Amino acid sequence: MSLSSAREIVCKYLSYRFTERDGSTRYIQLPLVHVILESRVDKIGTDALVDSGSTTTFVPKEIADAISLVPSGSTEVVRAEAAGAGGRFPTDVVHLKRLTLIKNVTPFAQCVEILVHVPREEGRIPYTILGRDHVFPKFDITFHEKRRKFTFTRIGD
Amino acid sequence: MLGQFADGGRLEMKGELEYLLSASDKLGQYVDRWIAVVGDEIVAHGETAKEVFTKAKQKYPSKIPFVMKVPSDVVMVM
Repeated sequence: MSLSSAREIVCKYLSYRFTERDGSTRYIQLPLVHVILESRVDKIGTDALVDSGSTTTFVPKEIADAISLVPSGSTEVVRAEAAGAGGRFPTDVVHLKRLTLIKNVTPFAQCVEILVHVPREEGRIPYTILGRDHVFPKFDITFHEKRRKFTFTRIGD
Repeated sequence: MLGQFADGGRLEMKGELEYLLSASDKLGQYVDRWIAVVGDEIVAHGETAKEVFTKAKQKYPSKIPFVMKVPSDVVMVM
């Protein structure tokens, strides 16, 4: 399917509420976008957090394992470490064949043959994280927190 | 897939994440669990991504399942 050439893509925050075991109500609001991750052998759709605070892109180990996005030899893997306010954790840097961003059913951006970090432990990150390395150079990204929306504005060549 | 009227009145097809946006009242029951969505249906839920991905692929082999862990409000800082 061809990529949308729309200059602006407006996405809604994923918002929902749920009741904790103690009866309290929690509200969730997150700027998540639909992505398709493609390894050498399989594809999976999943949610990705748009995170300007992250310098790089992360894929949860659980998602990476589901599509066999695993280190496959010395040329495919670089051991690394991610650090942030939550502490340090070890990662593998692996090749992702394709990362596609989707709005409704229409792809609007693709990154091909990119390097992403996969934590070596499950549960380290709850969703894919789109950091500033691959997607951010293609768009100006604006968060409209009060309106629960975020906008990708395509940057001209 | 469901359709929805976008700005300007044209009909747009909805993807799996847009389905979840419109059916967010269903998500609370799956907090901290993995779900797989194909079209406008949650086709599998379970404890692991691999499990729900495999179930969804078995049910819809020609589709690309949308798999996510429904987040709780645990604060995440990288």
